[in-house]
Amino acid sequence: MKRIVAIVRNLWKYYTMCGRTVPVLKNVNLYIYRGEILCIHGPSGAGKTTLLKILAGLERPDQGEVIVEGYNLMLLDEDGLAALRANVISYIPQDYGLIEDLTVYDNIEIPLMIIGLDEEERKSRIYSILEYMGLIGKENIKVKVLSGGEKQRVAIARALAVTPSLLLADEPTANLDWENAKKVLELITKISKDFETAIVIVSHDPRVLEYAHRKYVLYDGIISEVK
Amino acid sequence: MYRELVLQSAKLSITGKGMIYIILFVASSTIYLFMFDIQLVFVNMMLLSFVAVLTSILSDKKTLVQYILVLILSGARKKLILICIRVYLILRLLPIIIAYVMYLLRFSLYIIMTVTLIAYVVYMFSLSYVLYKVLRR
Repeated sequence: MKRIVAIVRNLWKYYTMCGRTVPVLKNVNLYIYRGEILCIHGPSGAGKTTLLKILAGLERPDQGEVIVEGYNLMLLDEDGLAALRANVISYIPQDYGLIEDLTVYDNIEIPLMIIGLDEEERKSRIYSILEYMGLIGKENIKVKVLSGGEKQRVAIARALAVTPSLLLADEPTANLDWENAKKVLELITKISKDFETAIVIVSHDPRVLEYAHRKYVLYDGIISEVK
Repeated sequence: MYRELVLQSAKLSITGKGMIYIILFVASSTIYLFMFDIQLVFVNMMLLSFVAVLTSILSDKKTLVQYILVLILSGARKKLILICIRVYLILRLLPIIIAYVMYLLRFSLYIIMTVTLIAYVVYMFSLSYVLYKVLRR
């Protein structure tokens, strides 16, 4: 039996635009299992990023609940959510979430500093992750000089450094050509197998759906499974 | 954990290109102060230093924003994020403080210096809080 990593129940989220309250997510229900790749497809403005941010504990829903690895995100304060992001959930934003003026090594080191690993442990973990991601030799290069595909791999390495149970990727292929996008998606598939990490990808690119174990469509705030 | 991230913040602050603006401002204002040795020039320089610090921060805005976002995404607690932002911002003041202290030791304008320093600290603390709040949203 597959283990559930995250549960989203009766989730509603509203935004206020020009004095009007508009629902962005309408009664979203979702189960995410360990080791699976779940893809949420939908047009821009459908609420995909909002859903991902709620799963990452970066935004709070207005109604409903989100449970990740047994922790109800609604019951956690800001520091509790931060602790969950440090150990359980990793989020890769569309613009990679990297510091371009720092080297690849320094970028991957930051989450490891936050969880309190000592220098030796950090070094060995960073080199093993760099090897896994095929980034050996690039550790002392500043992120700003890397290509889009390499930046995405560094972003995944940063997210993977703390071995999260849930990896959330916001449009991981949006800034890449299809050749590089395929490489990133193959890497994500490998990660889900090797680490049994639950991976949620949101994308407006229908080609990404081929790589998912389960597919959902989010349109106008309503989510439905694609069989 | 705190020490290493504080050092990382210091490194980012010192190596940012905005630090060059601060160094240039300090050099020019020191020359100016020693050439025109009157209080009015000093007060003007004090006021201009606010603009210099703001310019230096704005020139590294992208890096600072990326740094705060990475800290948020990596699960740093609010207290730690605020410490990192403050270290980053306060280090931008350091060359100015050193230059003015050197000058003030000659002219004893301690009151102006103290008031300005307090204003700086309040300014940086509020700015760090505003940055955190805006980016956290």
